[in-house]
Amino acid sequence: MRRLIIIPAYNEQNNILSVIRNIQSFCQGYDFLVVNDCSKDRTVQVLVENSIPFLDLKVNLGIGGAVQAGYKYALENGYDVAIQIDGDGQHDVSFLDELVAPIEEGISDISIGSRYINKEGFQSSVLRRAGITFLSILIKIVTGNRIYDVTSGFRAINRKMIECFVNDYPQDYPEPESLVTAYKHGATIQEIPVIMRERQGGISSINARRSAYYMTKVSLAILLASMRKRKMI
Amino acid sequence: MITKRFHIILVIAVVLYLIIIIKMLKERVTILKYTLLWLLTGVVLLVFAIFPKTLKVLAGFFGIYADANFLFISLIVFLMLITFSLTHIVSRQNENNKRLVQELAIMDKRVRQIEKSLEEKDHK
Repeated sequence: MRRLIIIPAYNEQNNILSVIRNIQSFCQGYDFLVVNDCSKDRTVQVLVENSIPFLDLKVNLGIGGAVQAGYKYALENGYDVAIQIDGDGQHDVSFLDELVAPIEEGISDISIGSRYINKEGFQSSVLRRAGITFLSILIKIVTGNRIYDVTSGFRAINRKMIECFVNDYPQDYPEPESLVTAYKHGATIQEIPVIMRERQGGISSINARRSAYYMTKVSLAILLASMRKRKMI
Repeated sequence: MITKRFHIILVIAVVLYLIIIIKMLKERVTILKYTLLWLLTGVVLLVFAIFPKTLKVLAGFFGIYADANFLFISLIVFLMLITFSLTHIVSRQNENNKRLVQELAIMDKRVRQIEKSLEEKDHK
């Protein structure tokens, strides 16, 4: 099986190298690809100087657009599994094999690294957890399936889902909405317990001012995605 | 009722409006495809301006007391149509733009790879 780790990066000059070094030392048998989403800092220079493979988006597309570019690359280059890891060091790559296992065994199409199964490690603030619970319940209502860590950006998908997401992936705040799209396409989704760290640098794309916008937009997107026609693949 | 004064002002304004739009189309400042709704608005307004009677009839049909109110409402409807069509266009452009940026990035990586392998060949 050919596996590609996709690492979307926006202004991650201080974190990206340690994320890559971690992958190189702990993960055998994985290729990796950074997708630079038009960073304003020295991210590109860091990538070039260390000859790290990367896609360079010349216009800022948002995290969904960046990850989707990675999926396109994975599809064109014949990868069987695509894994997404944040470029800020939140995700512990020592869980990679556990995350990918259900995909490679053919048990599920999407595997999500979840903070809320064993409730260990960084759990985020109370307010954010409330928001995540709300979205989780909303997804349960429209799809009938309960996923706890719906905003987790630590996930692995198989070839079938790569093909699906190349055609249909939200451009901003993609995580919860893409789960509904996946269910619509008949995907099986599984959560794997992982421990996440607090981000080691940079700033989250979702600050306090944007939370209301985030919740409204994502909730509407979930409802819309659930209303779209079912396409079985 | 539309007064004589307003009638004249309306005709002049609509003619000016149409002249400006057609001039911009002639000079290719705007593309016909995205200016069609503005033209349609202009033509309808021109009919209203030249034959204010139509305003009265239509206002009566829709149960609107004053002719001028019907004029306002039709203008608002046209403006809503135009702005919504712009949202539609922006959404499509956004999708096209996203696809281009992604394809360009993949192509750019391929070019870098080829350049690197050529360089290595030269060194041998």
